[in-house]
Amino acid sequence: MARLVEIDVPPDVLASARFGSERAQVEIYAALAPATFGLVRRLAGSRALAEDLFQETMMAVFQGLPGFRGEAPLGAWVRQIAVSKCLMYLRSPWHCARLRFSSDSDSGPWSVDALLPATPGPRAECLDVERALASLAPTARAVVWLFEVEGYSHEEIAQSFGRSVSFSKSQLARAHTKLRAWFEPPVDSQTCTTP
Amino acid sequence: MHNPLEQSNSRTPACGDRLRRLPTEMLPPYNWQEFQRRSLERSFAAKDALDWRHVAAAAALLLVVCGIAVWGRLGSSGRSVAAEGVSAGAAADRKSNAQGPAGDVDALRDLHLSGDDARPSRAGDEAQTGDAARRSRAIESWLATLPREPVVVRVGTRAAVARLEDRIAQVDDLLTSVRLDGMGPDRLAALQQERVRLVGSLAQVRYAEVVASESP
Repeated sequence: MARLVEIDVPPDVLASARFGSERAQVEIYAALAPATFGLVRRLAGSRALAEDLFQETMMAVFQGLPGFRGEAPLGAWVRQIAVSKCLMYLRSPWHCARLRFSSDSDSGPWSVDALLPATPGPRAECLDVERALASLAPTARAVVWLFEVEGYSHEEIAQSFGRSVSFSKSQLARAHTKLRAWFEPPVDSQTCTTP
Repeated sequence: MHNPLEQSNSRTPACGDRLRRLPTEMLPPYNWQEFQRRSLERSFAAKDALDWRHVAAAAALLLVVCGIAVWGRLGSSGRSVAAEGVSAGAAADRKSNAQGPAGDVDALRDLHLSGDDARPSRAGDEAQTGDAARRSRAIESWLATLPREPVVVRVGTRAAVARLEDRIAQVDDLLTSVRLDGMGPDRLAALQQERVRLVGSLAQVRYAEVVASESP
């Protein structure tokens, strides 16, 4: 599976797409859409929101295609647009208010308890990585995904969020702690005593 | 790109590895045709939103203008009094212009003495005097909010302001003398009314001056 940043399209296809060739545009869409949607889906969390952001991203890509200079692979440029769209949403006052509202209530959409299975059983067996990732707060999820999978540095994440490097580090540390709780359930520390 | 050495915890790479093993590609929600249809829909919606923004802006502007008009008419602030004083002040101006500076003082003295002819009830006069004083104070407080000197000073306007200020000072002198002499409240009321007219005129001129200095 190709990562978005590695996807590139032949220069002739790119040139045709710039001049409005629909065939070339379809080709570019087919090449970029799966990885773009994958990235947006990871950052956005919910599918409905991901579809919305994916649409916005692809529209921005095709609108900005004539201005793409081709200095980097097309996928890297598209990734930048997708990340920027997602983070813009995460930073939006509407989203912040929604988060505040959900954090006020006991079981918010991203709370761990909401994801726990109804039937009792060992955590590690019930929850896979996807669910563990979904259990994180949107900002922490975006930070951990950008750092671990997309290979962003703390400086790049801080710049994208418009925050400090320590913000990125603390978010990552918090996300790791939570993820470890999912992946490595705490061992019972009670010691066995012989009578 | 980050350096893997940045990862501080020895157990952290396990999280990272698990995340990296997740599929990076997902089946897109729709194909090219659907994408185009949605793009068109969004661009139309954006156009509609733009039109609505214009309508909303126009409505807001209209509301503000109406609000100012209503406030100017009904409000008890200095602005309404200033507006009221415009006509009276303008009439006083016309009269004084026709008579010249000497005529102003004479007109004021006439006004000061004319109180003998008309003698309304004492309580009515006192109420009228109080009301006029309040209105005068309101206009003066509004005048105090205006800049001391406009950016552009026009000779004609400046002269009109100076003349009005002189006349207000004369009325103030007369008011003081009337109070000291213990003359009737009807004279006091008449002088207060005249003062309100003059202060209203001054407010009008100063406002015009500020507006003219702010306009390009």
